[in-house]
Amino acid sequence: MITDEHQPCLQGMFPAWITTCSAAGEPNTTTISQVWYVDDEHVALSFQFFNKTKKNIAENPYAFATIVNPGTLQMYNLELEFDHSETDSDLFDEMDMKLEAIASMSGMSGIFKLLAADVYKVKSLKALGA
Amino acid sequence: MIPEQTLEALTNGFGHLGSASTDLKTTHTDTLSASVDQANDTVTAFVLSFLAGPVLENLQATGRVSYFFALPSHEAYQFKGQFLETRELTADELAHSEQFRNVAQELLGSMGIPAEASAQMFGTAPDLGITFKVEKIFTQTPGPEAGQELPFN
Repeated sequence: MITDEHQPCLQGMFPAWITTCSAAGEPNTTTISQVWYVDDEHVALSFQFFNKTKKNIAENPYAFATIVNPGTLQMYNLELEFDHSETDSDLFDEMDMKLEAIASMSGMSGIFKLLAADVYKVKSLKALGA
Repeated sequence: MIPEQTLEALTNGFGHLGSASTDLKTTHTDTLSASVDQANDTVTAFVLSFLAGPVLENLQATGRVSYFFALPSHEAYQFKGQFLETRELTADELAHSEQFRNVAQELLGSMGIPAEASAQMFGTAPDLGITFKVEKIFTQTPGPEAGQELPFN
């Protein structure tokens, strides 16, 4: 499902946005700095704070995200379903290292601590306007 | 009254209008600026109707709106509210959207993004307004106050 065509969207060069929903049906929309590639059927989001997105996903596993190719601005919509969290894996270490590098460059080392790599199953992936 | 501090980001920021279906599946669509009716605490988000279909279906079914918008400075807010109606945009609203879209394309050009790419995102004028009643406002600017509810009404 995720192919080479989508890889530029998953490098963190351009923010993504995500909408989740509480069990009571209240949507929540926000931006995220990066959607991470896991394999051709899964992506990961960083869990750094217990925010509304995390709370909603604990109640209702479905999410909708948009990623952007930074070179062409082609957008892709992803229907996601939360699968599992990782706290001790190569994926977690890779995400942790990159977040720490970003934090160091912005003088915020130690503040943006990765608590988990949240892995989502990609249910569909469509180019916007397709 | 919708707080003054949110108006610059609301009318000149990058927006995303979210919704949820009756079975709790979500979707969103990009906006190309918005207008405010302070007397009625309503916001009209400017969208492209050919992309907004799934959001409109949800809004007609559940009525619940989440509207996130942010300036390039990262100042950001989220409004939660109740869908009221769709309507045609006024000449003033279309003119404001054109100004917003031109500034957005200039910004992307200054970041080295080719004009044909930025035109894909901002080159088409919106053709539909989605109006909702604002009920709650949250700060979303990254930092210690992110997620805090702003006093409103």
